[in-house]
Amino acid sequence: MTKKMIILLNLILLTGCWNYRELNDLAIVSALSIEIVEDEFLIGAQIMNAQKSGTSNGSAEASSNTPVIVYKFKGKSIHEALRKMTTESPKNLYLGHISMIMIDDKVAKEGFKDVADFLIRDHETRKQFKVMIIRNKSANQGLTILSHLEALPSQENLDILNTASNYYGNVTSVSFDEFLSFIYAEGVEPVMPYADLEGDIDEGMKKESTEQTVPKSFLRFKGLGVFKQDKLVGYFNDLESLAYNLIVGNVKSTIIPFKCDTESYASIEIVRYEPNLKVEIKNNNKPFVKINITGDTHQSEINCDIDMESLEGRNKISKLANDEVEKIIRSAIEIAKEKYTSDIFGFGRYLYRYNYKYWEENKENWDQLFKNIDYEVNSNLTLVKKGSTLNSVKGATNNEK
Amino acid sequence: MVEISKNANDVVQYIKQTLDNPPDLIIKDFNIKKKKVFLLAIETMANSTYISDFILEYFSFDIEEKKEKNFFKFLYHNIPTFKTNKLSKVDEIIYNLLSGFTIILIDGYQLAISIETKEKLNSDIVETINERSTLGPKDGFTENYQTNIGLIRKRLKTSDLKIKEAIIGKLGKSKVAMIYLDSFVKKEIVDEVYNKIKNINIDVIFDVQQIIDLITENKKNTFPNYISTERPDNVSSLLLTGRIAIVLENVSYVAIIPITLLDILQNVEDRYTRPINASFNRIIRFLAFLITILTPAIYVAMTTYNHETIPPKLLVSFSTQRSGVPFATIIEALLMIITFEILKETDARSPNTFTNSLTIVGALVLGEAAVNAGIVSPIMVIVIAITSISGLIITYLDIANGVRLWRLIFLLGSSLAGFMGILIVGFIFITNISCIKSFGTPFLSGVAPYYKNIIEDSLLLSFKNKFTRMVQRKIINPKKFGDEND
Repeated sequence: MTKKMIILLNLILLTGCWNYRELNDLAIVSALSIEIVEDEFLIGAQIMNAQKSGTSNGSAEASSNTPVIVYKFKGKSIHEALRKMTTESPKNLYLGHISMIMIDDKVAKEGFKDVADFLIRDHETRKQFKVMIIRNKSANQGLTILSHLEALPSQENLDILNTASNYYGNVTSVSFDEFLSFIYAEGVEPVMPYADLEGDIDEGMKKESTEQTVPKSFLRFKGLGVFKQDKLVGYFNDLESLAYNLIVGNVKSTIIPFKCDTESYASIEIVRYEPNLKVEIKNNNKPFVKINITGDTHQSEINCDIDMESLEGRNKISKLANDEVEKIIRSAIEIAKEKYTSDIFGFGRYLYRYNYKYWEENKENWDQLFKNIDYEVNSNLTLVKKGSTLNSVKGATNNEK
Repeated sequence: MVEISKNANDVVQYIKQTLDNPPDLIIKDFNIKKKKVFLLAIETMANSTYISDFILEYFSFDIEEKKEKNFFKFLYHNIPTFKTNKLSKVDEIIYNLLSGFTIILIDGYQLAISIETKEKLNSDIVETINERSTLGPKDGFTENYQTNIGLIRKRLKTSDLKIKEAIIGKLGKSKVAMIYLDSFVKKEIVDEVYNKIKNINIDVIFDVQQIIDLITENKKNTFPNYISTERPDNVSSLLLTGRIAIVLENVSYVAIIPITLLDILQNVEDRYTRPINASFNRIIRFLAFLITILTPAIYVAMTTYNHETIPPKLLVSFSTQRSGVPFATIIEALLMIITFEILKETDARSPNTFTNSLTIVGALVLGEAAVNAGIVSPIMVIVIAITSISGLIITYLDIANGVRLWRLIFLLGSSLAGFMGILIVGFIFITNISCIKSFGTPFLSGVAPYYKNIIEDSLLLSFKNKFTRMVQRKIINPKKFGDEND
């Protein structure tokens, strides 16, 4: 019995430990940037700085160094470039906690498939990290900008992305696996949020830049990049991106400003809404798209003289708001149709799902059909709350008590 | 037989039979005026000095000379005691007897006299030390054998309560009593255990634990097959579920057999609070049981193998705290666990006067200095602290020791293969504890074999207006109580 136990124990203890790595021996990568320079990959890795301040005392506060360190390496493959970083980094790179991948305009235009294989094949990376484009600068510069309100820049970018998509709606967070599935899905094209780097980037990577009230440089999300297959074909601006999100139903809450008389503006807040997309086949064997938007809005601001006490006034302002929503949605569809010919809204996917026969016959020339597609937009948002006051401050008169 | 018969001897025999001839039943008979008079009392409940001084002494007077015709009436009115009752039913006699009254039966009368001779069982009973009581009764078992049995009897005044006595120890000759409720207990267990106890061959016995060890065949189990408690209310409530209590002379603990895992996670005080709050307590206790076994293992697995399970924000913090610590996480963990165990053991063994200095040194060494010196990381201190605090929720020392052993085995498993290791050790753990049998009852009873009612009652106290102990009797004797609730 004892003999058996010794043999058994040795079997366990002498084989070593599979995949044993102490946490402090890892360089935890929080974000990656991927560019292609002269037919080689240029990889930037943002590494969380988990160094203790000082050497003698054991307090667990983070060091006074910057919260992240960025390494940059070229390689024929992405993995090679990452491994080369060990010539600079004292710890091996750990990719399990990547939260974001930044690519530049060029990679996006040449095709995302070129860089996707390593990320999907590697066993360490989770596939739920977000993807984004740095439009006006090189992607690795996006990694160098320090965060202002969060501890880690990658976390801050992620939070900005989520907050903007929840409360404004000009971007939507797209994860790596979602993006890939959109590339391969039939009848729909992917989008990817893009950001511009603004300010003095060389200053933004210094710690001093976070010690002032106005950051020297920052990363600002501008909208969505429109793809055709895996290739970027163009960018949507703020309103167009918002329109895209309204059509596909990504928006949780947003503000729509609109003109209420010749020079002043009013705005509504959409608090709950439901888009309804339908693609019908007309007699001439052409698809016809019907977009119906219903939901509740709050009147959030009126800067012109409209009598909100009367039904006509409320109807008027409600109609103006609905007209504005219809207008921005139309303009986004026009641009997607005419300029990019990319069916990002998933009209084709609707047919694929609900009229498969038609889709099978026409998927070869769907681009042509999409380019000339007819559509109709109906916005039926209901004004449910007028806010704490009735008439606008401007429109209030003296005889109203 | 409900009425008292004229033949006093018959009544006495009947009482003897009903109570299963308990060793503490005293029967004294003498003849007065040519009539047979019986005096009955329960030794453990009645005050013997009182009986001798007032009752027997009165009998020794020359009652014969009194010219009373109705002897019963005379006795009833003239016996010099504070409280005298006239009884006409045998059930009343038994109840009075078990409450500590002395019964006088006279041949030829269909009545009995009961005289209060209650022993003051609360005299030198002290508060429990290890199992503290917040809401329940504060009395605990003492070193007095009679008192201990009395404390249980006091709570269960029923003829169903049986006591079997044996004397063990060739030199020590200690009295051992097995107490159980006859209608709830499984007879086979009682007979088997009683035979084993009678056949124990030892010179002196000091503790109940020794008895259990001597009558248990498989001693390799990490978890004990009994619990020892110092609270009489706990014992009484467990007796109601069909357990057997073993009381040993000169020991202030009473052992309960058989037991299950679910008993360990329960506390008799759960019955004294509102069900919804008590249910919360039970869930907390169950969580603490898991936490105390698994926390160090999970921490080691997370930081050395399965980094992807740590939330990103926590990862930096963990990594920062680990940086500068020279040892592997597993060494760090073992260091802290061993230090804590040493501290605990020292605290338990050292005289009370040292406790303060121990606390200071312990707090400083474990909390501050070790971290500042860079020997352990602050997070490890937290992990061990959570583990230890959760461990203290288990008040039964033997169980706590079993838990401690398994904690180390889990730690070893996780240090070899991360979560995979925890899983493997988990299988071994479950296999092991499901093999334990406590005197014929599986340790996991309720869970395996599965009884829905018992699980519900163990975690969430029943809100129904029903004595849920009935459910639990099934654990010990499923055949007998099987149909009761299904």
